[in-house]
Amino acid sequence: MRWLFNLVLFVFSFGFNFGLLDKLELNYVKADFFLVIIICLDVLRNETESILFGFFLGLTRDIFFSDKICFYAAIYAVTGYLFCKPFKYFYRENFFIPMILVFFATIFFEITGSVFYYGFSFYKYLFYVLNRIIFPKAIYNVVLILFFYPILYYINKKVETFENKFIKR
Amino acid sequence: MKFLKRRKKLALIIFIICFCCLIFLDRVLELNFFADSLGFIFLPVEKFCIATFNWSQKKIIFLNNIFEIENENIRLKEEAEKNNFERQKYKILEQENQKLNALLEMKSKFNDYDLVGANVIAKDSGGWFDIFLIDKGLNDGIKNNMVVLAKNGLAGKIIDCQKNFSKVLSLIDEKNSVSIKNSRTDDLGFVKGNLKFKNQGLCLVEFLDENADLIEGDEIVTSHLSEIYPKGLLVGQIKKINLDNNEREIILEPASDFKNIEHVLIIKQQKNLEE
Repeated sequence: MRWLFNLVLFVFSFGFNFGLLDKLELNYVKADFFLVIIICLDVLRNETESILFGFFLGLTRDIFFSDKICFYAAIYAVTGYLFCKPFKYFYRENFFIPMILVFFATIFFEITGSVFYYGFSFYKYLFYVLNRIIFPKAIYNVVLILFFYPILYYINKKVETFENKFIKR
Repeated sequence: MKFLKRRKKLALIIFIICFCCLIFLDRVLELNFFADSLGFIFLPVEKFCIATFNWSQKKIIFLNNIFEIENENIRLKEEAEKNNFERQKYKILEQENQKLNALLEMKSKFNDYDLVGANVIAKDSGGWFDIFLIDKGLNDGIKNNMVVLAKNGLAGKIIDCQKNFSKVLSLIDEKNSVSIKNSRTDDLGFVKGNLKFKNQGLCLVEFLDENADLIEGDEIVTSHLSEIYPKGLLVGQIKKINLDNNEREIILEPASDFKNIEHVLIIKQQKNLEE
């Protein structure tokens, strides 16, 4: 059941990210649904699942939309790993935490990716990119997680209840 | 009064005779007093009766035909729905027709080339790479480094081919560099994507001679120096020239609209070269 849920989520996030989000561009800013999903899994599941999910989502993005392999995969996996750490001290029922986490995760992801991709030339545009791309994107991701986290939380709860029943039998 | 009570019949006869005489006089003298008085009393009543009768008749007919009306109502609703559906269908067909016309127009612009049309199937949602996917691949004879054209001009080049789809590196990507010339002055330079302007669908003109004569609105076309891009393809127009510390930042607005890119054409071969 858990793997079926993961598979459906994987396919859905792929379609949503590359099919629909492109049309939902706001002032030249597009949200990153993969980050939203990774942070949700960070909170709802464990770090292994989150890293694996991040890696494979990144890999699909690499295969289709980049000329490097493992560029996105590595950054998504590292983001998944790093932002899973604080959840040892928080409850997943707290809907506010994923919002803060996705905000900082977006900033981390964008800066790390830009540094690796552009190298030193990135610093020339750092403030412009922060103001015009990274912060708006982070806010856009916060809005997305606001909608999707409760849905995923509910579905995950159902999946866990089903699994527990199955184990008891 | 006692007399009247006793002679009731006589009084009645006298009253009737008097009354008839009055009517007679009324007719002879054409006073029409009685007819008017009677009309004043009875006509509204009559009108009311006729209206009530007509209303009742209509209602009875309506009740008789209620099943027919219901059926007719259902039929009309179905017809209206059908019409709506048809209207929507025509609207979609009209839009499709417009798009195909635009594509045909686009194809006629590039008569010298052997072109293949393709649809954009996916775009990355704001990453570091500006790559989009098209639905033509190796099976359709597409190869790496083939030039991709959109609505009015150059859109990019193929960087990776799979059986059924290909990756196109768009003109606004930082990795893409196109040798260009100003169609007005023949000054040579390069068009490159830029991090700052990429999101707005713009790019920069670089390595242009410092003294080159350039004005906003100048048309930029591909030069004869490129190995990949055929010469003379429209790249875009100069949108703005920023002067910053005596350095010129030349912003180019590509002829292709990368935000709403849906159909593209791929140059398979130049017809003249084939001959």
